[in-house]
Amino acid sequence: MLALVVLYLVALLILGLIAERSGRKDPEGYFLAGRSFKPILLFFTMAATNFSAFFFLGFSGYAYSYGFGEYGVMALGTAFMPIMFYIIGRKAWKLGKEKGYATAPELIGGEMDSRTLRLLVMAVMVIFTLPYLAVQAVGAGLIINALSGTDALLGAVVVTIVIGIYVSLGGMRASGWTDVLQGILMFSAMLMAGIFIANALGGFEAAGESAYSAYPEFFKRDRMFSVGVWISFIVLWIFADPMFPQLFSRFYTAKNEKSLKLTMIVYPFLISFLFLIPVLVGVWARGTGLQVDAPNQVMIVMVQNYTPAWVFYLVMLGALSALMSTADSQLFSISSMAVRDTNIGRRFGEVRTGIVMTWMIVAGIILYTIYFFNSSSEIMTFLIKNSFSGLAILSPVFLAALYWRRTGRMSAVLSIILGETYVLLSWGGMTPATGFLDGVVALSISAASLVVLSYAEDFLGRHRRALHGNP
Amino acid sequence: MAELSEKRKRIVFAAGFLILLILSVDFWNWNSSKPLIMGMPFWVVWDIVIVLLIGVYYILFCRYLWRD
Repeated sequence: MLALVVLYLVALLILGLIAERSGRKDPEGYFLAGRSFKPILLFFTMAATNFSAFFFLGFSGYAYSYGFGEYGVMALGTAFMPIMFYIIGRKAWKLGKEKGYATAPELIGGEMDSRTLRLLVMAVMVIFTLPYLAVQAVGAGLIINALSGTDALLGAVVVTIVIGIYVSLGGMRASGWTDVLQGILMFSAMLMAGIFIANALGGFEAAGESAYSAYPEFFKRDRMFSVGVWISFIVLWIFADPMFPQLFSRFYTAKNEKSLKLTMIVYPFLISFLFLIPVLVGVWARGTGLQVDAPNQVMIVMVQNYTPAWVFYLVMLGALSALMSTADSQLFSISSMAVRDTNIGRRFGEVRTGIVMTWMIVAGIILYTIYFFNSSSEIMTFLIKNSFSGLAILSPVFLAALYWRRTGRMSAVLSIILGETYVLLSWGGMTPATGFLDGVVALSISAASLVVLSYAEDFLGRHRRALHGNP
Repeated sequence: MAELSEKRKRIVFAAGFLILLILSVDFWNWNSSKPLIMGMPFWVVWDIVIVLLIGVYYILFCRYLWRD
């Protein structure tokens, strides 16, 4: 099935080439597709970027390990999250149009008039995005190996280079257009997997009842999720998702507010059934008596066992699409920040620097893949596991910058540092048990400290001005 | 809805969002697994309904509160 993989990768390259030929060549055209994404395009690029390989393979793995609770935390949190398209996205889109912002740190730096804050936000975003991007290359290699028998390391390198080519060629436009193809592939693959597996197991009811009679505890939540943990996941998804730089930058690309509105409305309807399928497959696997060493392989094994070969290929391609659509957006958002937020682009030309940056990151990922393909470092695992917590901590500062004039610059910097410190302490097991996820506690610390310190900063500022008579 | 003042609309929609948030933490179903509906525990069906209600909430939100 090597031909199928090659065909898919060539299709992505062609889309990248067309995007390069048809778009504007100025920075706004390259980094934001000229702020031209219409509703359907914005929806697909947002969803394909948001739903990574974890949705495709991880959900079923968690459901196989812990039961149905996985659906609730993922679907509810992700369904509530689009309210942020209004609270943060609409404002970011408007300000982006008025002031030319193209990245999230640019907005913070501009609205708060602070270069320190801009660089700090950029650093946090890069630190929690880059490791995620690096391990996706490894995942791509493993999928290509399962699909075509090609050496996994070679597959990882090829996929990374293909992403580098179409992203550097067509910028945001290429990333968005390929997301449409990848989104269609992953959504249809997931649907096919659900339908065929359910059919092979005698229908939804029979598959569910068989799993229930074997493992009734998988149909309860108390095994894995307390009420506190459930609430934590919902809160974390709402505040963390918009802080992923690859999602935030898409707010700027909307042609108009209709694009943001449609994306907001369609999200829950899509999630309601799309997130259910991998969870059902994971739970049903228990009813079949399937035993796997790595839970993330459950979806693949179930598809192999219960669907025709073409569905298996479609599902593997869907998994690859889920992975690549997130990875290309992450790559492009990191290179955009490196160009726009460090001012390197102004010296050498933004688009040219963007292309160079993209290839430098690609080279770094390839080196990482070659040296760490069969091993994982502790720090990388920590950063990936805590990327939601680490990024959620930025949200109070963004909300304050957009809605609260009293916000102090120093307070914003300190609130981020305090929140991230708590996340770091949780790594060492030095945080107390609260019944909630550490990420939510860190988010609360960050928000509370921002409010308290801003009042103090404001008071001290006025006191100083009164003393010295400054205006 | 159309004739409500902007401030009242905001209050209504904020209250609606809060109610959906509360309903999404169905602690009263927490330790139950029966009855099974289409092979799923009742509370999963409840979650699906809440997710769909959030979609309906966004339709109303975009129609009555989010003006271009």
